[in-house]
Amino acid sequence: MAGRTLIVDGYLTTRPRLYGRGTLLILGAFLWMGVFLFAPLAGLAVLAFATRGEYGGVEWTFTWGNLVRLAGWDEFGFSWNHVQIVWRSLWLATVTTVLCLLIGFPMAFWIAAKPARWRGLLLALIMVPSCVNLVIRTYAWQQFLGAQMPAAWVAQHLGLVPEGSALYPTVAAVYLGMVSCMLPFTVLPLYTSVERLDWTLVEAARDLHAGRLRTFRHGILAQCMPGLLAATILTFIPSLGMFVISDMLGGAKFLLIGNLIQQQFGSMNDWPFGATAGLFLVLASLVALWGLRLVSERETPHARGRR
Amino acid sequence: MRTAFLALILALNCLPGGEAKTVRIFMYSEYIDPSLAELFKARTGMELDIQLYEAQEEMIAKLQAGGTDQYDVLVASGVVVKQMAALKLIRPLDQALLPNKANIGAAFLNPAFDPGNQYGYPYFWGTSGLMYDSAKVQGEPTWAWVLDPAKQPGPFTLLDEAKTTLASTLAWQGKSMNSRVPAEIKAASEALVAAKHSAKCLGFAGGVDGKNRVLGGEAVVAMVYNGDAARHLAEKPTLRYALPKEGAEIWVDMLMVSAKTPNPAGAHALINFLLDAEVGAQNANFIQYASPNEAARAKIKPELLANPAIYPAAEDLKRLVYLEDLGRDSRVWDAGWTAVKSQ
Repeated sequence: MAGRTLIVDGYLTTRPRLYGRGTLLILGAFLWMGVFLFAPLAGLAVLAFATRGEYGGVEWTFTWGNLVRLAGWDEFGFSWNHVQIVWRSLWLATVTTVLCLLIGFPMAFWIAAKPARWRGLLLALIMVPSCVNLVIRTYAWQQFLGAQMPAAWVAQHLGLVPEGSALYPTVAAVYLGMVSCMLPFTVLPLYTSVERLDWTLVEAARDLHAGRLRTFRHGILAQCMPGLLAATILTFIPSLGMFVISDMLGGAKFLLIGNLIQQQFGSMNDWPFGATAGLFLVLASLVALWGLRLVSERETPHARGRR
Repeated sequence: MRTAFLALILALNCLPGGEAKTVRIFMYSEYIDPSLAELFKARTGMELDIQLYEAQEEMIAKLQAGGTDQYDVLVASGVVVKQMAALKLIRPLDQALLPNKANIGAAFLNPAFDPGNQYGYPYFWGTSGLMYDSAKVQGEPTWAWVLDPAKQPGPFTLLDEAKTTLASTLAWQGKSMNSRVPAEIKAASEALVAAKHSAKCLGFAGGVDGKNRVLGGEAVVAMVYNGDAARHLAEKPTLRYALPKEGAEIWVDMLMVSAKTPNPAGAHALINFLLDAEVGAQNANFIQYASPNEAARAKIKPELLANPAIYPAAEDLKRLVYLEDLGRDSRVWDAGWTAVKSQ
């Protein structure tokens, strides 16, 4: 095989040269992934089976104990605590993603329908809040929802909350914080999809007497699938590990998986168990990604052969 | 890159005389009067380099990763002394170099976590208790105000600190604040779950957030650290800080010497300097925490000494308990806290 000439992209080359150039091209990304993703992940995987030292620190005695503990067996026997924590995190991330999609999809259409000179500005405005640190933004929500602020005043006068009370900590406040934080990550990928929409397909659907719903389903939604998938991933995965917002706007009454991990590396000083929980979160994210891929392949069968 | 960086550090360390003239202290931010650096130089001829951390765990992680030669003096709470000694992050003191230890009040010497003050001397101390509005809450201060659903006087917040909050609950139930008995910790965590589900509970909050809730009138009582409350009691005359009758936590931050300090003489000189009566008073007046320095008392501002949120009355002091590092048993506490936050 070696030495045989080939024509690739209109150029004459040999197989070894092609491989050489290919290796060079992917080397950067490969090193980056290796150093900053796979190496730390491997470290986490090893740490997950180590033991906590008597005064914190790590002892390299390998054990299944951390996994057993994550499954629910602790000093008080079996409990559903960890299952509840995982379930709660999944639920929060799912509801946040659905809300973001429901708000973000019309927003993307709205921006795409504006004259070109406005679109750049509107997109920039969506991104601007992300330039401010998350904790500071959440503090701002606390101030905004405070008992003496207009929003609380209106709610108090409508009888929705008792006199003199703030609008946080509440579940609504948590979702307000989550959606406002994640929305830019939903809108941007959706916008790129919507902007490139082929409207002739929509017209064709209309010409074939498709109803409004079917036109939307087959003419618009099918075309937006890649953007929708990217938006879902970019919203759901970060939401899964988020805990600052639920702590600050939800009163920190319930743990999320992010809290559990932070607690182990922080006050509880149990790095091995923290690594086990962290590894679980990474694996859960991978499973979620895989699931989303399956869904997208089923929805857009023609996309598979395209590349 | 890393090797080049290490080589650079080595080269800098080897510069003649460069090391012995600087003493580096590693501590929380806003925890020392910065003007003391000048005084320290005038007295000892050495520069004071103040390095900051935001959380104790962060400091320990940094030292564990091989940072013990980057600092000379470490400031950390008494709870972690055993742990830091076990991990070999600190070294025993040379007592002969610390004549000013005589200034420390007897109550703060020879603590259980550091017998014979082998590793450190106290810097400042404080407590955790209840901040409340006396216009809305009356009676003898008790943990029941936040823990007993039948006696909660109004909206309240709990402290979002696993150890302090569980220990306070144990005190309310008449148990040791350093309990190692799983059944007792389980009962405490169940009590906290009940308190959390009360309609009046505004949730778990940091000390600053809890203080803000009481200041803003949204809560009538909050579990806080005394430092959070002390500086704000004057803003509203009805505000109070109290140590509940069942007992409360006392914490003390210790001055210790880093295990691999390149300048042990300078480290001891700095600790001795900070234990000086005049320096201690100036520092206490600046940062407004309680000083364990008995000899400094005469020069501490009377309004600070009279503030019960900073210096509790003598009879209150008797009910205060130091939290200990429970080693492997802290897993029981971890399970308890996870249960509090899950159910």
